[in-house]
Amino acid sequence: MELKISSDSRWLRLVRTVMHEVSRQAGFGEAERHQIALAVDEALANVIKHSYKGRPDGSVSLTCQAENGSLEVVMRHQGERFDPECAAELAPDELRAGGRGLFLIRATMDEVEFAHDGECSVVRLRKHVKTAAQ
Amino acid sequence: MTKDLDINIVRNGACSVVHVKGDIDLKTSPELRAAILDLFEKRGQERVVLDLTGVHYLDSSGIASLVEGLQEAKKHHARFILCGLNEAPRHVLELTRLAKVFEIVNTVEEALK
Repeated sequence: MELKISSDSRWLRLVRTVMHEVSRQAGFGEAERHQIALAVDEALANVIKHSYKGRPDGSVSLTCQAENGSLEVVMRHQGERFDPECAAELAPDELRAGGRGLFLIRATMDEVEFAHDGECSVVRLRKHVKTAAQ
Repeated sequence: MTKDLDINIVRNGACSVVHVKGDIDLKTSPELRAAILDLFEKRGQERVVLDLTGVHYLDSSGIASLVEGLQEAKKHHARFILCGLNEAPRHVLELTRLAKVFEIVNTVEEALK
């Protein structure tokens, strides 16, 4: 599945709905579907807010692939590169307003990777379907 | 066209109940933030109850708005109470370990006691 959108926050809701459906088809339970939708929403919100500085005319592509009991979501954009190492560390229960997006992405997905392929910044998220034994 | 977030404020003296319906995300949280801060900063409310019964999605920008509301309440020696939390918003508050930081009750009636 591939989705191409502009860097406009009005698409966040649509993307969450799509992620719920894609993860349902991939075999995830309801709680995990919410976690995947949350992580992708947070990653897209980061791109809109930080990489495109709130500009709604940037481009973002999302591809989702389910295989071998896991779902991989890859987000590509041409906005400013985001360096997760430079993101301010925040103790989760610290009473500061911002800075919890990256924490939530890492807390809900099994693999999180930020890269650059020469043309685009790439955010790669992966989650494994839990089996009954897990 | 339907609004993404409905905010309905019922004021009674120094106490306000803010009924919220919709998803709280990067797009909608600024409106909620402004509404909460206005009640503490300009209207001198001593107790603000945020009724989240109609909210099924809360992201980190929504969390940021709630934290700012709590900070503002503390600054004004007022109370900021959350109620009616559905499973998904509660999960996000627990993940961020903020569930114990906020005053959380089940219903508006409990919050007004």
